[in-house]
Amino acid sequence: MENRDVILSVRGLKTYFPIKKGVFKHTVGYVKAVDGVDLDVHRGETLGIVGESGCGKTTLGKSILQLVKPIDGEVNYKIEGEIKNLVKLNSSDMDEARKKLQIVFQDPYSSLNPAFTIFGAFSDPLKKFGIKEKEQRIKIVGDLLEAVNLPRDYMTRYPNEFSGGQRQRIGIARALCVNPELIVCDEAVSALDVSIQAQVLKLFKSLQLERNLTYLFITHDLSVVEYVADRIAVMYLGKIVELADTDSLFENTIHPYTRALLSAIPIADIRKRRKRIPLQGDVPSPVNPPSGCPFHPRCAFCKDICKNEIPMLKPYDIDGSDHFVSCHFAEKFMNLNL
Amino acid sequence: MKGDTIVKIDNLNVNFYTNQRCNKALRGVSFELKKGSILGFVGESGCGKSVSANSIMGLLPDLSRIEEGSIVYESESGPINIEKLSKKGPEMRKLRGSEIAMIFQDPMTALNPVFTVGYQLNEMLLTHTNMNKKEATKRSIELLKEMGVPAPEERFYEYPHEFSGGMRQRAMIAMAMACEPKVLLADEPTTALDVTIQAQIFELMLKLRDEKNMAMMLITHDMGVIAELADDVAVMYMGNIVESGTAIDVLTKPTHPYTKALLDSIPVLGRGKSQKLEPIKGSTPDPYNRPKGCQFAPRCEIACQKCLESMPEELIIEDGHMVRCFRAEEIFNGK
Repeated sequence: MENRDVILSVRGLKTYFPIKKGVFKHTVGYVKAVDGVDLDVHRGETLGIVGESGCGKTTLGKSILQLVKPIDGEVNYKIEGEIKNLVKLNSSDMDEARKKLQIVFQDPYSSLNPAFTIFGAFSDPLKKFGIKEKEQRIKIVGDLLEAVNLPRDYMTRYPNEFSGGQRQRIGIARALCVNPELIVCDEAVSALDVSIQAQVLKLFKSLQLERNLTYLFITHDLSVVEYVADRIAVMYLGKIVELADTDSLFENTIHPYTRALLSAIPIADIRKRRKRIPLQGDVPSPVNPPSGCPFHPRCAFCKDICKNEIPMLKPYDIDGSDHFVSCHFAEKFMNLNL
Repeated sequence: MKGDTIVKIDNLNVNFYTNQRCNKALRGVSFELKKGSILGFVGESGCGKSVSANSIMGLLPDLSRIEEGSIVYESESGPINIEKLSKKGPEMRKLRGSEIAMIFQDPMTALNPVFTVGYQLNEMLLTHTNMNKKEATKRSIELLKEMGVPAPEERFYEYPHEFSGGMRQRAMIAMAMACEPKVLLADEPTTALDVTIQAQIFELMLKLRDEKNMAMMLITHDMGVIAELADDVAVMYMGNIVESGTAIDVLTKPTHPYTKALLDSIPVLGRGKSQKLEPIKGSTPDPYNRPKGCQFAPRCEIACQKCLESMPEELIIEDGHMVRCFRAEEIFNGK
């Protein structure tokens, strides 16, 4: 694992949103959306980030791209062999870095400007990154549309002429237009009907092979993430609770939250009806996260230490690969599995 | 008794009229809801799942009409033909909420933001029962407690925006359950919720089915939900039920090409990266410009000339397993 090329490394990333109250808008507290995340992304892999709504997975994606400014931590990204901390870059350097980092948004209806044709929407980023001649731009946009299995002449059409699946493919093509290395896919298939979802998932996979892309695949749907991801990080209340290779995560699940999450997913295979592990209550508010382990109020195995001490994300060696877990009793759960 | 038919729908045709055009939203749908069992409806958006539920509730929009067919509700005092009742008439109002209740997809838009949750719960009880306000309040708090809302005495006086998504959906279910209806129509009850909350709602629904012997219609687009919850399944496509039967039959022996394609296009947890996803080619046809014969024919791998010309009739392939396909027997025996 050590010798793989780390393209992005996130260290201690924290993004808080202030809550303002009163006439003078003074800050009364913070929503701790991302609360100390460490993450390494390797070149050419797909890292899935899963969690329930409000766990901070979208904010994590946006903080990496500096679309939301983190308050603390480092986002180290390797640009042409040189490691740069994106948090510290000024805006013109950041624009330069954005050539390498792109995002595909969740909602294909609101992420395309209805007033521009597809060519118009693609032109701005291309012009910004130095392709001035129109013929050349037409060629690039046409190639991109073909890459996402749409006819070339669609570039003169407006977004309202397309269906949801087509729009999402246009969103992907737009992210590809500056030849990025890393694409953050923020719930990129969640808004699509199942039959269309399969088309888009297959497209993501084939583009990755052709262009050696790295994906950060943010989703709440574990069946989707199991299909696309090489490694999966499970988030809970702004923290990563478990991170492992996809197979290892599903076979040797350690963290009690991941177990409950996996058991809660309806499986479309009737022969596999299994016992659900019901979780009590809701996800606590990220304004006042519980002391100690963020999961302890809902955890069935909660002990005193869980209430007082925050567990660290520690690597454990399972079948030769690193399996990161933040739980005080990780070793105990690990032995239960074996 | 468990298994008795309580709602019977026969050859229902519903048309929507907009902009001088006519959308045949339902084209001859027949099914039965049985006591103590859950009938699941699956299909992509726009296939007519919600229209079926709304016609039972008498909630179709003004520009639509039931053209043909019947909806019979077996009440304690004899059968009632729902399709003949006036949508806003007193008989329908008496039925709606007390005998047949519905849970809507989006709890935030289904609850009224300017009234407390308690007020909205009480409203139901005050309209349909002889309770006075004090009794209604007591019952409402009990209901919230039964549905697993923590601290119901305080929650009763709160507004919907103070509830979390899962709790709002519980409040909605509490409201639907208030008058102990015989039939519950759940229109995508958990689509807006997280999986762990969804699992809690499922436990609740299964409890209600078993304890109150309730008939349920569960609408969803998620095959997983069907596999977990439903006793019987109906697969809908473009206004028709294309395949129906027990959940085990339909999911293990899918016979209609659409059901097969649908099952092949979803990633299933536990099958890993090697599973093959086969997207359904093409997209759903424009409802105003429908194919002439079988609605699925243009996207179907095995469509023949006959499929393009006429709509196949319902065919019982084995006991309780219905398919609408000319080539159903070939497919069924081919395995």
